[in-house]
Amino acid sequence: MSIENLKTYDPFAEADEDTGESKQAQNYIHIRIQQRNGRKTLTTVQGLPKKFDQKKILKVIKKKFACNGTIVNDTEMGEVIQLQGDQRKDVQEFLVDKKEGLELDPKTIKVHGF
Amino acid sequence: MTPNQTSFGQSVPFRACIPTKITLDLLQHPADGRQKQSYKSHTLDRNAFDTSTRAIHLGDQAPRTRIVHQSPGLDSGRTTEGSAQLTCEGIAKMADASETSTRTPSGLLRIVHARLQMAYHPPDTLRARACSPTLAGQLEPAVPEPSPTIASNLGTLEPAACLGCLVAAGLPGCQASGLADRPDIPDRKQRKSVVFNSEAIVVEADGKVTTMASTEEPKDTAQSHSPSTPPLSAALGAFTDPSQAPADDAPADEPGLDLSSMKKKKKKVKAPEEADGAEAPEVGEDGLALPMKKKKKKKVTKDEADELAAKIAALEVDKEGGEDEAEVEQEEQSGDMDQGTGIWQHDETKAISYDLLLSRFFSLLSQKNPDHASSGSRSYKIPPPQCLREGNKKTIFANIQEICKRMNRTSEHVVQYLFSELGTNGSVDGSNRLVIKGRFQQKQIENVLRKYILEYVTCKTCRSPITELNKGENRLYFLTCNSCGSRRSVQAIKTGFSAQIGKRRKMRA
Repeated sequence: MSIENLKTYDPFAEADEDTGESKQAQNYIHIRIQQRNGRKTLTTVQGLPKKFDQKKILKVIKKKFACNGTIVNDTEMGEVIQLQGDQRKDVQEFLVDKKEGLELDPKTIKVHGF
Repeated sequence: MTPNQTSFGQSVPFRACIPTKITLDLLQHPADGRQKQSYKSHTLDRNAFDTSTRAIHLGDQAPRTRIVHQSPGLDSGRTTEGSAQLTCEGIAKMADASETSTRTPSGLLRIVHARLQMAYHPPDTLRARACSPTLAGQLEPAVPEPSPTIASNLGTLEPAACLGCLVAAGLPGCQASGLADRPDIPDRKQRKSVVFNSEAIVVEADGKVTTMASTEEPKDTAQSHSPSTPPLSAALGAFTDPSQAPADDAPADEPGLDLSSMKKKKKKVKAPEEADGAEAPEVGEDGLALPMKKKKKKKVTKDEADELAAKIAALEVDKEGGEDEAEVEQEEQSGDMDQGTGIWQHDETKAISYDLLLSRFFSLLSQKNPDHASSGSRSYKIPPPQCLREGNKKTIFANIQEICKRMNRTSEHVVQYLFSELGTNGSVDGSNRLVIKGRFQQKQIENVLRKYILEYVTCKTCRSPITELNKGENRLYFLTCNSCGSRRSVQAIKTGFSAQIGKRRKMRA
């Protein structure tokens, strides 16, 4: 039981998101996970902004998360960073982090998978 | 009229109304309009209420405040959405109105509390406890309305009046004199729908402000068509009859007025039709009040002690104008609500504590309007997905049909989403079960389904899960809500990049 009256619900919160969606529909960064054999997984980061040098990012990430990874050139999606293991959370934090990350808006990042 | 004779202030057990715990979330100022705001949260408990801890100095805190509270009557485990917002103007105004009370966290709590209390009480009980809505009325411009009805009922209560009430209730840190000579309390516009503008402010010579119930308001309860001319009260003349006593005369005949206001309170709490039977004689003469009371009481089952206390209370109200009401309310309040015994007795004169009223409100709500009571929690439930392992590398999602039916979605759409999210593929077997490649646990499937529901099932406008997903024009999917009627396009399911897994030699071939 809770009290409906007191719920503060910003009616424009989602409207805000909406405008963001229409503007940046293409600019979403998708972080996905894929299962490999056994307990192994792959993490793919797709749609990083062009202004970043993917190679350098990958280098930092590999060092930081202690995993291997490559850059895959996909015909549709462009350059995709592919990492070994489930690095979704780490990557997300890295992309958002203001100090030693990329300072991206968390709204533009979508984490998929289970 | 001395402050302890106010009809409302004393009888409201204010302390009992305080939520046990209030969390103040102080919003950082959004410098550029719509930026994401962050919360700093401070938790104050009930004990911090009276002792003015100066830990939180509101002056240099962020201007917007979100209050999350816990209160005994509710499920107190949750500190979440039950929040009210005060904007900087609201707090600033409060600070203007009573410097002492807002600068300290406890002062703010008081305000917040008044607000919360108002939100919890149905308008009727509010009327009885005129003390709380006043502050709320003041804060109102800044605060989202709790509910249209309550808010509109509160609209016209005078801010000063309620502050006065608080003072009368003996709250610390709320100085009466400071309040009395504040002419700059903003006047709120009258609202049409308000029925009770029931307070008249009486300013004492020493600067104390007290409120009286002016009984000129049109009665919306049975009082208006009650026989206001029974022989006795008619003989006693107009000024003892509560429905005719003008507000200015109030100090002149305190006992009568006191009783009437008590009566009113009771009426809100009890069944209104019956309350006025005894009223006129009771108000009219002290001697008559008691016999009437006794007669009434015989009808109801009761415990002796309560009756005695009530009698004493009634006597003392008549004699001293309610000086001892405070004592009476300290006594234990018990009784069966459904049978109307104890404190819930029909002609009980004690004030019912906030906790009791609150619990009564919710029990009544859940009895009479289960819809309202349950709507608070979004309890959209689907049966848990059943996951079986087929061999070593495949998972069978057995009850997908059932779940799809429950969500009112086609299984194709759900399957498509599942596969794209899980980054795998699969097939549907003979008995309509889904075979997914890869090993997945029930928890993982559950998470994905939860995301699906958020994105494709619940209405974004009203959050109701009663929706339909249709293919509209332009091959777009549209989500139509059946409860609020909103229509909105949803994103198409995209698989995105999928890395090549497995042996490369196979792929090349």
